[in-house]
Amino acid sequence: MVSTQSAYEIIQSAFPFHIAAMCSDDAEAVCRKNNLSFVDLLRPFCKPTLEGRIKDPSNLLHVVRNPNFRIMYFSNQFVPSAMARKMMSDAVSRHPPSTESIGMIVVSSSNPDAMEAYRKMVADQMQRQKQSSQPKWFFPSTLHYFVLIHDCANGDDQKAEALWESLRAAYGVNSCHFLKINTKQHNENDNMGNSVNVPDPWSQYMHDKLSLEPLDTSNSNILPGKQSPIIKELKRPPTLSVLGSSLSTDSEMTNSNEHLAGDQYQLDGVAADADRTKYGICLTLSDHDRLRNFIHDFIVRGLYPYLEYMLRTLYEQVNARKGLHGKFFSVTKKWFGGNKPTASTNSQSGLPEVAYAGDSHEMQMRRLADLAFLLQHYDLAYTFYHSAKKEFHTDHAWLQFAGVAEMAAVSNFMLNSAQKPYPMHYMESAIGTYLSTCKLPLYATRCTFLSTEIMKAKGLNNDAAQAYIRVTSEDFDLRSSLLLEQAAYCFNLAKPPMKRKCAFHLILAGHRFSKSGQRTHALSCYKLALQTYKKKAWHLAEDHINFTIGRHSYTLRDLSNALEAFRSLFSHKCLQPANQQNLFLREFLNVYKQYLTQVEKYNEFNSLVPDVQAPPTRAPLPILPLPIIIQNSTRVLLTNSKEECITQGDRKDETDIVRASSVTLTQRFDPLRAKSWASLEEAVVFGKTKRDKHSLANFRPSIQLFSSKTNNSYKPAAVVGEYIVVEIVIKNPLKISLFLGDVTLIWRHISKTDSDTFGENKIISNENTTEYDNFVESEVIDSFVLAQNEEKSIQLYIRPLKIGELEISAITYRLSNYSFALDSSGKRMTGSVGVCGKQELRPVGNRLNNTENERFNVVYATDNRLHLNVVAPAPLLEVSFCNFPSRLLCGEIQQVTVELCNTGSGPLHNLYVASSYPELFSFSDDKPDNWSENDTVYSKVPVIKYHTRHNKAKKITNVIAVPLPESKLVSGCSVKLPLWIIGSAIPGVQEIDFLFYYEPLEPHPRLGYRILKHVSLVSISSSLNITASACNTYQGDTENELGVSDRIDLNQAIVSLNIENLYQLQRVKSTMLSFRIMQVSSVSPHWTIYPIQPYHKDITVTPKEKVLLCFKARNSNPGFIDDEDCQDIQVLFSNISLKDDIELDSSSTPCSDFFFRSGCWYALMPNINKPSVKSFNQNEKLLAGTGSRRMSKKFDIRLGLVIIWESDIEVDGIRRTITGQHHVPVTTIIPLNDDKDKPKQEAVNQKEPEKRKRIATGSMEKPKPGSKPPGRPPLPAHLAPSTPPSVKSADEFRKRMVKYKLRHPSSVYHDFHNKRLCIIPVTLILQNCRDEPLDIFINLAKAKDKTLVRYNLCRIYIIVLTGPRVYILIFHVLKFSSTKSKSEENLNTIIGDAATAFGLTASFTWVGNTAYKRRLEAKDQICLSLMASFCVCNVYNLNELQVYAALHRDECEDTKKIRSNMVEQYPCADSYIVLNSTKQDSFELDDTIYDIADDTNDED
Amino acid sequence: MTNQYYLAIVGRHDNPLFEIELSATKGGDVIGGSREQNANKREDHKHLNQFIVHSSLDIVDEVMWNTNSMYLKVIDKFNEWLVSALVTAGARFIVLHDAKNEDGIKNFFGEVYELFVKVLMNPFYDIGTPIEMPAFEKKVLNAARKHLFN
Repeated sequence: MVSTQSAYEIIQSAFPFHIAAMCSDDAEAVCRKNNLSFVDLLRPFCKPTLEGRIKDPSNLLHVVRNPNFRIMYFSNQFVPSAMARKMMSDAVSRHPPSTESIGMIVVSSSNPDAMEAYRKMVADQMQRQKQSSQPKWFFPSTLHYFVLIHDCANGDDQKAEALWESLRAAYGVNSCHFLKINTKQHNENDNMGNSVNVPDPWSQYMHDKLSLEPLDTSNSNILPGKQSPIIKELKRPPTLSVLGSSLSTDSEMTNSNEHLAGDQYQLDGVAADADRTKYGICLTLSDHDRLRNFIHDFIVRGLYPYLEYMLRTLYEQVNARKGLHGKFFSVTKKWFGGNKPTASTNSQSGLPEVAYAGDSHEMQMRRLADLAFLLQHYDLAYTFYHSAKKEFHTDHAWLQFAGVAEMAAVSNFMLNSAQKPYPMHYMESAIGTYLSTCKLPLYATRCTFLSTEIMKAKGLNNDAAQAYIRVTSEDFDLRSSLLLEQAAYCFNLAKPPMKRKCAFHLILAGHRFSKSGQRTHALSCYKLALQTYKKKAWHLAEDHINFTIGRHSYTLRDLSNALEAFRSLFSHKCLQPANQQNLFLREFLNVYKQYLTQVEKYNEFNSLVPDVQAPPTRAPLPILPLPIIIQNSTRVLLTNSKEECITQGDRKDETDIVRASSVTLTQRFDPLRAKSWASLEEAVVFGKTKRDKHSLANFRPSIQLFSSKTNNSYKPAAVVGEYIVVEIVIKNPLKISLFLGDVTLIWRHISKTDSDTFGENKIISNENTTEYDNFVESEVIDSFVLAQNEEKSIQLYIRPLKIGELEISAITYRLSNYSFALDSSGKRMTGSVGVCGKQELRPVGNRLNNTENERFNVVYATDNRLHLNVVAPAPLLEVSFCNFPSRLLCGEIQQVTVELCNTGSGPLHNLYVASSYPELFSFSDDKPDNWSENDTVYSKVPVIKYHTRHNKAKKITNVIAVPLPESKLVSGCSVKLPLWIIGSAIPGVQEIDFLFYYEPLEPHPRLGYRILKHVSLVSISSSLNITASACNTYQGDTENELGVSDRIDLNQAIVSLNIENLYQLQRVKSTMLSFRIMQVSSVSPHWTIYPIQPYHKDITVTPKEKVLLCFKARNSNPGFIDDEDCQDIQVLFSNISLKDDIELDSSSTPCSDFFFRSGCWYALMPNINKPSVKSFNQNEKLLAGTGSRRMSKKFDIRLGLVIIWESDIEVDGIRRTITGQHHVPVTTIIPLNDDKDKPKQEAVNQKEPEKRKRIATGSMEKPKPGSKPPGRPPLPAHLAPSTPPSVKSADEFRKRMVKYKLRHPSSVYHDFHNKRLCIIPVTLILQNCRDEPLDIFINLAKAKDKTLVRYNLCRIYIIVLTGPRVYILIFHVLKFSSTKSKSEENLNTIIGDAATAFGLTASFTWVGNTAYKRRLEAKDQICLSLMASFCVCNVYNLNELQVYAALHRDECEDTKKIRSNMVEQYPCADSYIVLNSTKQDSFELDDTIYDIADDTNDED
Repeated sequence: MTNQYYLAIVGRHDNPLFEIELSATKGGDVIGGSREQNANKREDHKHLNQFIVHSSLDIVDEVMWNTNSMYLKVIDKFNEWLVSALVTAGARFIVLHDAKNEDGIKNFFGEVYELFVKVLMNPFYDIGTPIEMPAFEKKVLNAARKHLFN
């Protein structure tokens, strides 16, 4: 910081003695030999360190230390004011100000008439002093000091000595000096050598002189980087050489005051290195001493005695006047006006000014004070300034007042007295007076400079800054900028430093500098301020600074700095409005372009150096700041074709061919999917190819798509000739569009030649060469547009053509402002402004956290996704699927042609397919060679009754070998294979993943095997829901009286199939589908199925219908108990064709394949482990397992049913027939007598399909708790009445004592609008089956549970079997064809639980008695008339009653007791009645309605 | 001439946490432009607000030791702008205004400070980061309507 001492020095040097020199021409000539004028010659010696002693007016000795001089030529002291103003505006002038001078006269000894010359010059001086007001002399009687200069080298020594003698005689020894110089002969040759030894004190001063030249011209020479930072300037205490003029208050001083200084603003180094003229070349060190002596002599002998005398004289004068007039004088002066202070008008301020004559008392006082000040007698100076201040104030001589007030303050400061505190207000009032009263801002400015210097010395930096700011004005840009800069400097000096204020004022100063054209200064101000504003998030301010810096730098042709500044405009989130951003971008691009041209030129210049060997290289591309690259979103895809990786993988063209390349950029990373792929790959690698198990630990799943989620610690292996697609996500942060042109990747290819292993790796990159065609082929995207704030991904492919390593290091593009890039027609304009540049691609790996070092630091894993190994060509499998279905019904089978093609080099073999869903597709396992495309899915065989085929059970795993002709596929060849796809049992979207594994036939150095992944999406719609159950039959050979065998045949079973059309339930809008059941086949180790003859053919399940089919199953190998552990199971296939002429081959592909793959087979064979496939339904397996465990072996059955169906579907107007198959396992036979167990067994079988159904429809209501489980097989119920009481338990016996049935019209028309209630008589016929009389009790009151099932149509085929004879009865066919509006209500009420064995129940009410008690004689039959009432049209099951029976006891017992003994009889068959309102919308019953009772009667 | 206000909340590291320009439209409605909006208005001088606020922080840091109250009243001026400040534990609130309105600004500061404290309590807000919550902006606007333009 500035010490008090330095402030002293500054002020002292600001007020030097001014000596006017007159120099004869010959004397000047002597000096010129040193390239110096006389004045310049003396300049280095004008601050002698000496202590002069003078006596002050009170005769006390006063020491003057280190006086300060300024010697000037007499004549040219003044620069005309206009000129000065120009210099002011041009640059910062440091022209010395004039002050009142004291004379000096110089003549050379070579002058022929030296004495005469002296005399002439004295006279001349006197003359001028009288005539001209310029220069102003301190005293009327000037000090004349005569100097005789002698050129030792050339001059005549004797003559000089003689002259000196005469001079001394003429003017006295104290007024003369004999100066000998130039003792050394000037020699051009040793010019250089001498200059080393002899110091050159002049250069520093002469350099100052040079800077008088307008700064602008020197600015252009400034080299960037050499420019000194302005902070250095700020640290340097400003010297105030200007300030001397305050000594004088004369109005003429205005002119010189214009030359306001600011010499502290010179730039160091300006012109310092300019070719410098040697100064003082003829002077030796002793000459320097002589010069020093001369100054000393002049001061001590000439100047000081003179000044001492003058001081004394003035003091006496002033004191005398003071004594004479005192205050009286000043008062009278005011009153009488007087002639001394005359009012004149100041031209500048227009204020009436008080002018004083030069010898007036006030001026004398002022002069005395000035002299005392110069002689460093500050005490005296302060006293007189102080009293002068008072007098001027009384006179209202404001200008003079301000001057003395200012000087009084300065004197006080210099005095540094403890008694007299520094009068800050003097200074303030001086500045205020200058500014407001006198309107002389320049004076105010000068005063401010003094004041601030003092304030700074006193540590009042803040006040100093404020003082600077106060004198700034709108009008004077340069001055204001200087002042503001000083203010900033002061803020920085403050304690604590006010950095922010400093920065702000630097900005303001910079602004004013640029307004005044001082770009260099403006630039340095802004740059300095930027340090404070940087990274503080004051974005608008920062942008402003950067933009200004950029512009100024650009104007000053400092392109690299300009570029840097513009670049930082884009380094943060730009908040500027769009047009501003546009401007930024345009400037940036423009500067960048010019910068590049400059660099190019520079390079061209450098490349002139002949270097023929060097390949044509390009300069490294510049790095662009826009757009932003989201580094970790970069993905790399290794692919075989460049198109499909970008577009959707399952893209279909006209021929319905889907190429298998499911790994595309459209997919997001799915960790589950990646895991499943990895496990599949692991399964195929270790399962099929018998690799070492120990290498399992080193197993790495092959990755095709590298992203930030994948393991990128290994370099991906890219195959020569195959594509690498790099996806880069870029973001435009601006509000304007960006246009990228010629986008391509920058890569580096390191080829490793096999021939010489010691040879250098050849590195080639497309950044610096253009001859790379045979190494790498890369894509160039012509144009890419990023709209405002858009985030987009860009895909670029690259294709290595040589083995080696490939590093993708950057993306290069031409960035341009969008408006430039396209003309009106959308075409690219030829000369669009754009800058080619690049941005590095540097994705980082995961943050590591394993070791201590990693935990304490931020360490990222290496990420090699852009560093690829290019390996030798390898076979490449391409798989395409022809006619791959996109939607299927559940169980639908479609045939797909798969074309396998080897497009790589070299043959491949060991082709496997692995899938998580091996049950959903099947390759033909045998003989692909003689396979030809068929229209139908199933192969047909002639119908042979009861024919069974044997085949081996196929085992599947999720790795399937694909048969190839000659077990290999050579390069360029393709083979077509059939593939069958089945719709999975669960509707929804089904993804089938295929992982093709293959190996090169010839061992490949890097690739042991290759992988092709594909995922097919198939949307599955529900079709049929099929459940099955089996129950025992009675042996047919022994019949009881009812014609029913009572021995259960364990080798036979009745299998009932419940087929339900779910199609419409799921897809409301689509067309309804009917399914034709083509064939039912069984697959079992021992069981075969037979139709129940004659059976109903052409069974069609129309929409929303449910169909029941029954078959007979027979154990072909009775007594043989299945060996569950047997793996190689021979199975029997038996078919029941439901079409007359066709039987489909169920034992071959695809029917058997899908069967063995389905869950059905595993449900049958719980001991066969299904391959560990993730998708396998765990519940299914569990159920199958528990089922087999729970049931006794006796009732085990291993029967798999395959239901093959056919349907006509209309897709896009084309009608085609689709076929499919369903699999249903039957694992247990439900024993007839075990009624209680029934529901449980049902649950075992039915749970799974039931679940499916619910998934499929979603609208199915859950069965109410307590209700009968749906799908109860009807057979036992119907058999019940005819079953005699036999070997069964007593309970069973007692349940079958009474048979009953209901008689009523099957359909009734009733108009409910007329009559709300319809009462229909119903006859209940009861038959005693016993030979004893019975007591029976009929209860009508018990309400049955209602289960609503949403079938509006129910059509039921019932195949009833009684004993060995089979009757096929179409039991009830109900068709509901009423119009929707009316039926809507009906629908809700009508629908009974169809699944609960014809339980079509709706509510009706028995009227009349609700209970009857009757006695029934042996084998007797009675009829009871009942009344049923109905209130809506509907279909009703009238079997809503219970019959209880007990053997008749004659003794009259309590009724209650009888009731308790009674046993509920097996219910009769359901009996339906249809109520129609009119004939039109009616429920129709089919014409043939058979009543079971009738039949049994017939039988009887 | 309608009154103009500019509010800045400045964090510990002299970084702006929130900025908004507040001015009344001809219809008397108060509009606020924070950062990106209000683009056309005085575009060339928008950065000046930042400069003034930033430089007045020096004065805030100086003045706040001389008083016990958090509200520092007018502490600085630049051209026509007056600078009022509120010093809180978390941030410094600075308002530039072109007319004296001591009580209004005091109340405004009080309310905005309360809003700011609520923001600080928001677990999704990282202390020291710019506040980019539309709700906060809206509430500040309401506070301005209530206290500054009435």
